[in-house]
Amino acid sequence: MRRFTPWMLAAGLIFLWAPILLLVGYAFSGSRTAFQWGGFSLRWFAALAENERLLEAAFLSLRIAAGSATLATLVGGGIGWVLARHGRFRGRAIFGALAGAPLVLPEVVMGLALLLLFVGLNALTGWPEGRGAATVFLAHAALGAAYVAVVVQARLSALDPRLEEAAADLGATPGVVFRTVTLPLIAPSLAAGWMLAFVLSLDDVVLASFVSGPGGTTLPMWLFSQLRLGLSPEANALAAVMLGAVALTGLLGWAAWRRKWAGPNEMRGRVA
Amino acid sequence: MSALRLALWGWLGLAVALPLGIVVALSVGTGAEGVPPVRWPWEEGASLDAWRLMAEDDVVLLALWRSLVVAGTTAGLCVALAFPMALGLLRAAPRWRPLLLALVLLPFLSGFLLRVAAWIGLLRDSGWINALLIAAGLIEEPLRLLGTDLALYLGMVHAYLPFALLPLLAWFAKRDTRLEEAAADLGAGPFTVFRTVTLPLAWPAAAGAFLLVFIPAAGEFVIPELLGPPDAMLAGRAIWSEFFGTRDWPFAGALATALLLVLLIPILAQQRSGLK
Amino acid sequence: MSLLSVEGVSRRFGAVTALDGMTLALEPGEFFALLGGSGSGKSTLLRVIGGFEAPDAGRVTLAGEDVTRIPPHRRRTAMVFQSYALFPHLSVFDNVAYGLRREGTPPAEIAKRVAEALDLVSLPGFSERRPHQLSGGQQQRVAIARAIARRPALLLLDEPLGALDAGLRERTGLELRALQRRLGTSFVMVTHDQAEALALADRVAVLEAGRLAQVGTPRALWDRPATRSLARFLGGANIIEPTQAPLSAEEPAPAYALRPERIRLVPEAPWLNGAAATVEEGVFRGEGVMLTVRLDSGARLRVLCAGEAPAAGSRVALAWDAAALAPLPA
Repeated sequence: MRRFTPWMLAAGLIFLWAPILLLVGYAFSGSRTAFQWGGFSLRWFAALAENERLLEAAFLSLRIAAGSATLATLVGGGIGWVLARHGRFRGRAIFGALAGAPLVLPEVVMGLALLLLFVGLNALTGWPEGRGAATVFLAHAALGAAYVAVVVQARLSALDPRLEEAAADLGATPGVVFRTVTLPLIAPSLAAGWMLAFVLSLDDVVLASFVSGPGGTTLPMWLFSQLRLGLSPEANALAAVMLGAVALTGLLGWAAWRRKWAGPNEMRGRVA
Repeated sequence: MSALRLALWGWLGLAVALPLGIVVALSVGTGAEGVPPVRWPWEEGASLDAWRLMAEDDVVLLALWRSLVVAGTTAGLCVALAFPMALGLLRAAPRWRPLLLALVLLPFLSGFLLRVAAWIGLLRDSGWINALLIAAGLIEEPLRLLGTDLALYLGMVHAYLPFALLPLLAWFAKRDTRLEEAAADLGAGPFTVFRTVTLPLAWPAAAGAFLLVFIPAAGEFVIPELLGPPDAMLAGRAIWSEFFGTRDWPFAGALATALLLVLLIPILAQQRSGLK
Repeated sequence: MSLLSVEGVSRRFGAVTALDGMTLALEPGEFFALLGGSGSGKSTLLRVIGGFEAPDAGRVTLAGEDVTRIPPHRRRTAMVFQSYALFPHLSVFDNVAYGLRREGTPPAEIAKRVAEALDLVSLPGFSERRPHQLSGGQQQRVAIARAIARRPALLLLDEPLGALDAGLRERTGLELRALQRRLGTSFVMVTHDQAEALALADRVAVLEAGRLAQVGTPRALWDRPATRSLARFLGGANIIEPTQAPLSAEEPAPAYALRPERIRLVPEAPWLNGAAATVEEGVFRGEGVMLTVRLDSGARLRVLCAGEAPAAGSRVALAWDAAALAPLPA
């Protein structure tokens, strides 16, 4: 077993990375066909920069992702806190089941359900008037909140409740306890939850396709329609840009995290 | 009850409970001309037409069944690959672990559609694998790889591997390695240690990881659509095409409700296992 | 007037009764220990005093004020938590300053009081460290400094020595006692370790199944245990009844506690307060050998023998003083 597992790890990493690296590598190819090497070129990045529909979609996606991740963090953080710290209140089982449902619902079902909600709300109250960016934003917040809630609840459950009791014992009112002890201690998980919700929103095709409408074409929706027609070299370039952005964000986040939280439990805390 | 909790009840009711309720209500509605193309049960009374139609539709029932098979196979493959990977990662030298962990997680963050795109680039007729095989003189005509079950499973495992990897990593990170040392001390060889100690103890974690992949994979739409056989119906695609293509909303509602009911058992099992 | 009084306090968790009509009073300046095994209710009592648990019945008064329904942040008690509960995201200075900041103390005064508190626990120069950079003993000192910085009327300590190495325990315990003497603040300490309670506290309350079994000075508890189980719990006293040996005590009782160190080996057993016995087993204890002997009446006694110990199987004669017999109820 001891010799076998490193090889499996290596094989798994190759399986994970090979397609991505090839895709990125070929973003720098001058050829018209996506997967034929035509010498080093940045022409597809230039083409990317000039494709207005794509840029529009990308900008919209970033705005939706940032906004919905923020709303998801507020709501999901609250849900996680209630689940971890409110004890056994009436209806807790139902509360927990509803909070976790978006994690296990098939995307297609969730998309269908949220579309029907918007259609129904529109029929009853006249809002939302038509569908588009706003409905995608709300749908992504509903999904993201469930993920944030899990992350925050896990962190709070692992946190010694005596820390909060100690703060109260030292004269802190409940609001001050939350601000000076709970919040700083769950801040990393709130940040992680925000990132997760952000990435989920940037990645989602299915929910967006259901609840979107005119003027609500997100980047994944654009890419999905492109891929249905076949691969374009622009998609390769887009992949390179996105992977670069993800790697950079990850690196910065990691560096910041290390500086702030460097400690003996570092590795354990990260894996768990 | 605190105001915060009341507000969150409101959110969960509106964003989760009500939409799901509407889906179920839709499944007992009646199809109609117009926008939206449905008469709700509270308008014209409930009707089981959509359910009856579904029960008689072999194609749709087969799609449901195939979804479960695909999800099960994907989950099995993911766990089988993730298990040794997680062990390998935790047995690596401590200073390499953060890097290896980043290497494992980064593809997950790199964009789901882009990873599907990468497989299209590898597998299509003019893609990398065919180009390589032709250059090596092994084949003359490109093999048909894209739009096959092989492509479907490659894409599914690639997409869902982290779902299996993360819970297994978390579990292995906190397990008690002294148990394995004790087994070795009692004369068990490395493989026997694995078979008699590591594997039985990891069983609940592996089952949790399996369900974590199985549940979302059963409703997957994008990967079968882009990589899988074009004619193969799966539940996700069936719901999508009934809704957007045929515009038979009650039928789509019945299908969605049926998929939920089918997934209820694994979902409950997963919630009980406590692995999130 | 008592500093703290607990009157008829009960607390149930589901089917488990953690506290059952507990009544206690604490004098100013006292080092008080709550001693008991797990499930005795000692930690629940401490949490009720601190305000972390509301009792189902009963009253808690602190310096004449009824605090039963007062939340922890408005009580003049301060807790040193088990495993300390130091804020991991704050430096030592900020941990100790935390309570002072809640009172709105001016920064210059905070700096002075934090330095004072850290001085009192002999931990100057550690202000900028984070809790995880400290040893267990240092963390415990920070936790105490954090609690005393607010100058509470009453300091509550939940197993304060429990997380320390055996070597560090005794010294730290003595330092704790010295600190209490210097501050003059009342301490209530929860512990499961009887040696710790008897060595440090002015008075000890022994809790059993949510009830008060006995309260008194360490000496009184040791010499006059109130029940059979207390006699066995504290120092492993023998329980001896008049049917098992000829007894003559200062007062008549159905049974007596007789400590192993109060029994002597003599050449010939006296006809009262003495017996002949057979040695069954001897265990070396450092300060002597703990013998298990069997009286001719069949009763077994533990005898601490300071000198040369007789071998197993040999016949011995035992004797004790009438004053060594502590009367017990039936």
